[in-house]
Amino acid sequence: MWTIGIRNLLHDKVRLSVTLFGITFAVVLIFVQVGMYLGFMRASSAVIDRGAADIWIVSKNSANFDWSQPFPERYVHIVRSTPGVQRAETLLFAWAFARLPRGGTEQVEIIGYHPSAGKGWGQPWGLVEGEARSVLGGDHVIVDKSSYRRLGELRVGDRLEIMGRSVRIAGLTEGIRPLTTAPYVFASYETAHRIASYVGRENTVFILVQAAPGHDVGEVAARLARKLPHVDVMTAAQCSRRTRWYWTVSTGMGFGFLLTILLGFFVGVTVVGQTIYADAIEHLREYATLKAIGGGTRELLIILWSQAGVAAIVGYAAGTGGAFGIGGLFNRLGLSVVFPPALLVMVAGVTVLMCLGASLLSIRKVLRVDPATVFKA
Amino acid sequence: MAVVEAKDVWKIFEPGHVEAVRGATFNIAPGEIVAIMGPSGSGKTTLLMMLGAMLSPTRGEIRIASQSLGDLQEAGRVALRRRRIGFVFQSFNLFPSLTALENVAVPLRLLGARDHRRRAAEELERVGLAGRLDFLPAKLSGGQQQRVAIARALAHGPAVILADEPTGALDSTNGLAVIRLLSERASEKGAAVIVVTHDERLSAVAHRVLRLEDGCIAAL
Repeated sequence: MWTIGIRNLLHDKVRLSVTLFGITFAVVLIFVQVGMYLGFMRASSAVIDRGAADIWIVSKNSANFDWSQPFPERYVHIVRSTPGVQRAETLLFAWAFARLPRGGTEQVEIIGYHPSAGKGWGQPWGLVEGEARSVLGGDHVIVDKSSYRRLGELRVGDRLEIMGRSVRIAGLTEGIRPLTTAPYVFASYETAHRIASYVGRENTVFILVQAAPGHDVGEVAARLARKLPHVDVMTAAQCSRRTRWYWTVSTGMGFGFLLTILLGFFVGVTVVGQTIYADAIEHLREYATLKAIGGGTRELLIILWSQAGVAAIVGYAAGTGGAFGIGGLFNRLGLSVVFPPALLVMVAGVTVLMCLGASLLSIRKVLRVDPATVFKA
Repeated sequence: MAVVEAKDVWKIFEPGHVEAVRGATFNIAPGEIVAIMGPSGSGKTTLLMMLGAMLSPTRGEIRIASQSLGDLQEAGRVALRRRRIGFVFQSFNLFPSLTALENVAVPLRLLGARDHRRRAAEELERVGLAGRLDFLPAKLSGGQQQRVAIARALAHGPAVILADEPTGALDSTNGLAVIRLLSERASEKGAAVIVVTHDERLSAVAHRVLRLEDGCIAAL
């Protein structure tokens, strides 16, 4: 029976093109929107997610990573003396202004880490030139290549002025894109303090904690929270979630993405629904004939669902190809678009749902057709 | 033993209380060809719809191959049409996107026949279309299309063929050829044929003519 459905679908090339365009459009829109959202979210909490710390200590009620405020650095000693803590390191974060060699000013986000602490304690990743320890021995910084569009094409050895201090580029990374428009500038903890002197030498912005083996991270975090009532103590997962939640809900970004995704879905349903319905109406006499000669609900559904299924498969394939093309282009332009395997499965499911949903009206019409109409010439 | 039995069959359409068929009673034996004739509005098509299990009588009983239609739910009626009845329509009603072979195979596929292609090809050979198996209906003449429709109606070996004005869309030469073919093939298969027609030439081919006037069988 599916032969009838597919032949009918292929018969009208214009209608088929409109159907496939509708699905492809919806698939591309959904993919790119979700991919951009995931890219933004990944960027928003990348420093937390890539860290080795189990617990993050941040200023009271700080809404997200980028909005954290200074608090007394001496808290780190309290943390280190708390049972269940294996290791604790400070990490500085501060907003600053960079004066560009070509003139003009750009805002940057300074991350001051301890180069000797090892990987996962605030160090940059994705290094293509230099290493994490390259920031030692002077006002040296590491920037990401994605900052070129804002800071200019900096090379190792070039100098940049941040908050009135001349710093030298000691390394380059690739793939570290903050969610905000201000590029990250990695420096040693001491250099970061010198650049962002407004933080205060006696203050820090984060304390990163690793729980001792055999200790429950949640319990250690609760113990620290009792000892440090003037800051927030969170597990890394909670800290990451809080940052993502802020950008998703508080800024309205998530709603914007959701709206566009729903728009894509409904455009798809409408376009596909209309074309499949028009096809059903055009072939209503054939459906009546099939019912007259003994075709039941099962056969009619096979025909309609085969049409919806083929349209979904082709539209999904074209849409996925298009989305990966656009995603690649966006990534080259500095926008982070992420398509994890789970997203491929999810969009496939949404596409099938969209096409089956779009065929509901046709199914209703076809199932109700009176086989006796075949006797009217 | 009759393959079609109609006993005091009435069809009254509400609103207006239109009596389309009034007390029709007749039996048709296997292999018999019966023409139902009468003026427009005499109830021919309504009677055909009831015999085809597409419309329920208001009163009376219809039995097809010993199965009373009144005992059947919708699924049972669909199954009865699928197994026991073949249809030939005035406008052929072939599936335009399927080839002649595929069209004839449809009722066989509905029955789940694995050898549907072979049987469909044999049926088409018997109606003289061996060389047209892969032709789409649009590439066939009207007479050829009606032959495909006859092959489709007979392919699954039904007990009854219901034909609605099968020569209505054909010229006289093709019409006569088609009706002769239908009667020959039905006789070979032992199927009863009920033909609704205005074409008086069919009375020469039919074993019996039922004349309907205002819903009543006026003559047998």
